[in-house]
Amino acid sequence: MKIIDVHVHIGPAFKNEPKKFFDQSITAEDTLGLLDRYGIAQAWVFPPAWQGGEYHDPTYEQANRATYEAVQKYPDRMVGLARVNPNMGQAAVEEFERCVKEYGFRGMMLHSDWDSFGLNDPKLHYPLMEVAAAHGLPMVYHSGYAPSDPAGFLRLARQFPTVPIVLKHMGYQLAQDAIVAAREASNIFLETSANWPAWIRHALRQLGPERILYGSDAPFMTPDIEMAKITMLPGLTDTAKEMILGGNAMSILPECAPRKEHA
Amino acid sequence: MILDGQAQLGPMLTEHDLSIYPSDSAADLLRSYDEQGISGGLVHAASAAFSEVTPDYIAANNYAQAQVREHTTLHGALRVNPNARGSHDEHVRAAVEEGSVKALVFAPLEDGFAVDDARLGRYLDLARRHGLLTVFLLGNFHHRDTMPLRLKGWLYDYPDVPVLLTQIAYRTQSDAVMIAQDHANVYLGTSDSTMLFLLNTVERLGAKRFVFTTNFPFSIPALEVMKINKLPISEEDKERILHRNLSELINKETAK
Repeated sequence: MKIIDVHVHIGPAFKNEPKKFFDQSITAEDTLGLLDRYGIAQAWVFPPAWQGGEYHDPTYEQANRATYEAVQKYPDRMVGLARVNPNMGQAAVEEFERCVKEYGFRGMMLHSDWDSFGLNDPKLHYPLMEVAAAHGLPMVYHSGYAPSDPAGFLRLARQFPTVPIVLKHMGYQLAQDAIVAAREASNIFLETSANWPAWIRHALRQLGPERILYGSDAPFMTPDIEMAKITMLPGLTDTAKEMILGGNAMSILPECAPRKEHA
Repeated sequence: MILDGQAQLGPMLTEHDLSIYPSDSAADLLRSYDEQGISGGLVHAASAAFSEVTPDYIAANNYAQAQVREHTTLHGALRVNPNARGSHDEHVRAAVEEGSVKALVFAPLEDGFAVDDARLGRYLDLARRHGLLTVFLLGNFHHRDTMPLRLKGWLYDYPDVPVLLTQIAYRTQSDAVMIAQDHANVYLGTSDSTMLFLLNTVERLGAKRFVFTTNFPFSIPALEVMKINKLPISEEDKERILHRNLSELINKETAK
């Protein structure tokens, strides 16, 4: 089984993080070590939040560059996704386009909590979604309490039905809403990190395995624990596990499918 | 040894949307315990929100207590509901005085009362008189009646009555940690927390304040055990979390 983790943070902003993590993920080698340690064939990687501190990067340009350099070193193991702050307006759109064209990034990750923006302003989101639609790329969003509430993604999903929208944490505290949103819009996918096995089980009953993606949120979470929420779920077939742990991610970005497993 | 500080059982629980395992009887729970080397646990009846459980909990408590009597590794926790009418209070008193009950369980959201409802005083008096643990299921979706901070009045008035917040108060974990910092009688149940949160909180409060819980059938016991075992803390601290703290709280050195 080729395990793909669709939610791994990488980059120099972790130098500013006072928190203690179980795994380090500042450099390409740190992240490669993390993937090897947990038997992950490939990860979708993107920068963590810039929240102030000595390392200064509010536009994420340096962070995107660092992501690009890591992916260049290990192209079969890491798929780069850009990060921008939509509040930067046109500059954010240009950064996303640059990341796609120059860096070959295969999507975008946005975090409305950390980067303080709402989901209801078309001016902020539509231009970014248009870039994703034009290049056939997924958009990965943090989801949870407002301003990241799952219902807020429905309008985007309906407006841009060809863009896969991945909700990190499966709506977190609002998992029920995320499940409803995913039932309403077939381009919404749910990523499982930090959510509860009971809610993952419920999502599977409501949606089937096709719309559920394994993600760990490493290094904030531990990939093996997050993986165990899938592998230890009683009654889940091997086929369903394979879909969640990697198959569905490969369906979204088939051109990035990893060449080999990593046990 | 591993002891579980919170598991639920009862008729109809299996059909709940979020139930991961069959859990109609203790046999279902014990099967899961055996697979993970869990020696026993504190069990209570499922919520009256599930069909066929009446809000006075008399039948549901009696069912759970009967399972406890039948399986000596289980310890009984009694669900109480201040909104219940009829002979509920009499039932609670009789069950406590009979001697096999180790804890009283409060679920404000499920049973429709506020955590600072004055009527809880009579149950806390009972807990104090009989040296019982109290278990609170709080933090549901930021519902105002289930906020851990609203427990504070009781914590000042009953500092000698231990309080276990299951799932570290669920969606309001930071609030739960704050009140645990202020009140030495607050204990935190580990189920459904992330390893990073557990580690940071254990370092802040000390392992003495944590009780291993599974919240069966709504989580995976193997996963909950794995999280504690993988924490980079001392073996002594793990032992405390996995069984010693609960043993002390329910006045048991070891499982029966």
